Amino acid sequence: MNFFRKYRFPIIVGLFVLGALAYFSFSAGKGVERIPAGRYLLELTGPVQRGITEVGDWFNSIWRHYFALVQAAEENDRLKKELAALKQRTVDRDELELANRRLKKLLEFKANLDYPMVAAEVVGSDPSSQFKTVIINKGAADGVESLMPVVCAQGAVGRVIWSSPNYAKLLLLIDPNCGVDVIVQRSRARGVVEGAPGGELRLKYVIHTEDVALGDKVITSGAAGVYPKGVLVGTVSAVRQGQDGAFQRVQITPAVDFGRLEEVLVLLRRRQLDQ
Amino acid sequence: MKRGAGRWPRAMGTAVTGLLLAVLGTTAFSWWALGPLRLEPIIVLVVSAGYRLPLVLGFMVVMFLGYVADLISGGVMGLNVVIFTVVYVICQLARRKLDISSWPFQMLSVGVLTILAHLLTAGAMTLTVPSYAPPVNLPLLLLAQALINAFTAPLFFGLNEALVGILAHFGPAERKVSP
Repeated sequence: MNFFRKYRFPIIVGLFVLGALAYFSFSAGKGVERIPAGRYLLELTGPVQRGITEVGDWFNSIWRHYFALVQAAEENDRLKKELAALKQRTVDRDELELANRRLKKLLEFKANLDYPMVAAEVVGSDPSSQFKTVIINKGAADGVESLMPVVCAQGAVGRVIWSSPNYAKLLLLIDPNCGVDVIVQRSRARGVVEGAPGGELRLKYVIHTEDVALGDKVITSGAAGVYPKGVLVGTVSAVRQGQDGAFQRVQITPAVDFGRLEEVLVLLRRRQLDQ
Repeated sequence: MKRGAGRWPRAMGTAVTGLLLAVLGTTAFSWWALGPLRLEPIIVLVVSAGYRLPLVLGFMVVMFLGYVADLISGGVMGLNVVIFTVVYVICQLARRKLDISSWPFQMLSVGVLTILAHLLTAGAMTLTVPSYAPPVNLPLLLLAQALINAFTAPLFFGLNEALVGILAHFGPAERKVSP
């Protein structure tokens, strides 16, 4: 008993630090789906995130389209209000048109892919600068499960890493943890795309003899079983012959603008390994 | 007296503030991001817990905060739990000699521990993700993030203390233990 009193601090610290490390290694090995508490926590925070996003959008709209105009013109109140209302309507119409175009592209894209899929909106982004994840407003209730591929009209977005009943977290392609088996469309050279600093992608394991050129399109190979074959990943933006090893250093500009990701399609497709 | 609020209101207040700020971190705070730099309020709460909560209860709160941070951020589950635990232990050691009541010291603590937390994250990522390469301007980014976190620390300390104060005011009175 005296021993515990004397060494209480280091004993407790040691236990908790070991516990944290054990949890880290357990989670890294088994995946977060096995920890059910997180699902409910995300269910709790998801609606709040969605609400804040909607309120933010509303304030943003008010700020940009109303207050800015009020400050700009003071002498003619009637004209100003009319102008503001007209501008607001124009902006609303533009916004609708843009949304229409985006959704139309998404529909065309959807028609080209022969998989059941569900459309979702991005409701939250990763608060850390070191990771690239987003939260969408569709979850297990809509059939969304971990490892399902996510695309948008421009191309591959990432994959689901876990889902709660109504929300899911996506690991974006530009995260260094995300790897996708790909081929260069023109030469059929094969490699693995991974996230690189600065929002770019890196094509790895392409040997020196393979033909890769600037501007080549890179598409998913379908080999790892997560993505279907032929989804656009990006365009080759730099090719360097590495000084070390047998591989080329290939940089890819993603097809998707991850800074403006709003709507995505989750392919309701379980992982299918090559037959 | 907020500093002397009971341990349970303080623990509950810190956990609830953490949850609230985590949600804001994915929405409102990310709209005001300066490039890769963001507001990181949860590290402030970890420092606060390290200086003001008893050892075991503080560990529980900090692990909860780490779990919440892991849920909303990144693809490596458990990473924030470990990093927050390390930061918490350092604060628990520092509290023996130092007091965090003053604003300048709050800012200094948060700034220094932000750098440590980010270095640990980069280190862990380097060890666990073979393809991860820390950005070349990492020292500059760390310094800028530490300054942002340091200058916003009193705000989040204040928010946490306000919530702790409310819970202490409305919650049941703690039993006084005679020495």
